[in-house]
Amino acid sequence: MTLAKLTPASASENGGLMFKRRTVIVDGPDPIDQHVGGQLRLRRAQAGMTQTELGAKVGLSFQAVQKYETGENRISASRLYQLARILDVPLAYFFEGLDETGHTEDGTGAAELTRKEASMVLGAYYGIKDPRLRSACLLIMTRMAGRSEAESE
Amino acid sequence: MPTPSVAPVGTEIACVADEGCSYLRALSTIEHIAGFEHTARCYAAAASRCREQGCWAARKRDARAAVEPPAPIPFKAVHRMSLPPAFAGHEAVTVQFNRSNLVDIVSDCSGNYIERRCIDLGTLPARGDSLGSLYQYWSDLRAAGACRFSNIDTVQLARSGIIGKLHIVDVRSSDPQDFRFELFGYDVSIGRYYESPRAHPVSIWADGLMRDYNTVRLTAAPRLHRIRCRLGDTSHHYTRLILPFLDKRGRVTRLLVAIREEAGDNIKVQAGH
Repeated sequence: MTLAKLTPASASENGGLMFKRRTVIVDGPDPIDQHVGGQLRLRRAQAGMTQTELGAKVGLSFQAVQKYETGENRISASRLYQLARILDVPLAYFFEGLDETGHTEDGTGAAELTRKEASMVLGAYYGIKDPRLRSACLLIMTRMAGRSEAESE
Repeated sequence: MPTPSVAPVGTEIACVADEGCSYLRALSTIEHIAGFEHTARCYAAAASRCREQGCWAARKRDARAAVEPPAPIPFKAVHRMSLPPAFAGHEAVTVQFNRSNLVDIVSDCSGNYIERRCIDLGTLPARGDSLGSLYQYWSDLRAAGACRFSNIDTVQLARSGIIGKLHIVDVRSSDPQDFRFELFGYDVSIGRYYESPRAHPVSIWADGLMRDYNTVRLTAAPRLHRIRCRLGDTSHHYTRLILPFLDKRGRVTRLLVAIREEAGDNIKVQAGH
């Protein structure tokens, strides 16, 4: 994890060291911090909370929440736990969409197609007016996916 | 109209406001400009669902228009209403309003005219309406030294109930001719369908917009105007707030323009008057 925060540099620049510490001022926010901040912003919007309201709940100013959301400030583990509880999401939510190498999916490849597909499925599902037909569709889909009804709920 | 807001439905964002997908698309655009792609995509996905099923906000608007067609009124009547009371016996009239008495009036040979008055910004927060709360929010951002567009909070804007009345203007170019609308409020009738101010066919209108936007760009100070105008066969009456937003280097790169329609806005004027 430490190496992920370091960027390669020439030996001459760093007095023989092979890595230099990544800084927000020079290198910009860390992509992972930006991703976590983006997830925080999305969830806050879903909850209909302003930055000021969220800040008040965790004892922070709205500027601090802004900086978390843009990735300018890193969120500590304890703070992330606190935010997850307030926003009613599991901790893993903040890291959803990150691949194994820690890169954010850019939305141009398969992930984007999956999102569009999911959006179309949801659109078609809510387009069914009859609630009985809707639940029948859900049942078929869960059966096809090989999941039990209880699991899908 | 209920205050627009966003509410959680599952893991998606859904609109619970009077306005449907136009509202969500506007939020998506604001998030995109602010640099939050993921949130923008989620808003856009919610908007596309609305689009697939038909935008019920538009249907509602059409139905409302069908029930209440705007009655054309003679232009002379509008003009008479806009004039101050007559100066009886040449006595001095004291203007009781806390605003500038300097009125800028321009007109052209086609019968278009624009009457523009600068208003004191100090009166805004006291009113507590949509423009007042937006100005208060911007003032808080400025006081915190966070007047960057990436710091904007769409939930706060939604709470102000002003999403449909907002323009975002890209003023990165030093030439006002290159200013362009990144977002045009879906609920604003005047000047719609033009990507940039200069594209408007009424040149006095385009020049006035570019001048006002450029003034805010250069001074980095917000401006509030009350505007009465007649463009073609329609008269408009509205208040406009222009708020500057800075980039990392402290230059004004974007303007947030909010419109509040006043009584007598968007009225068709009979030809020949």
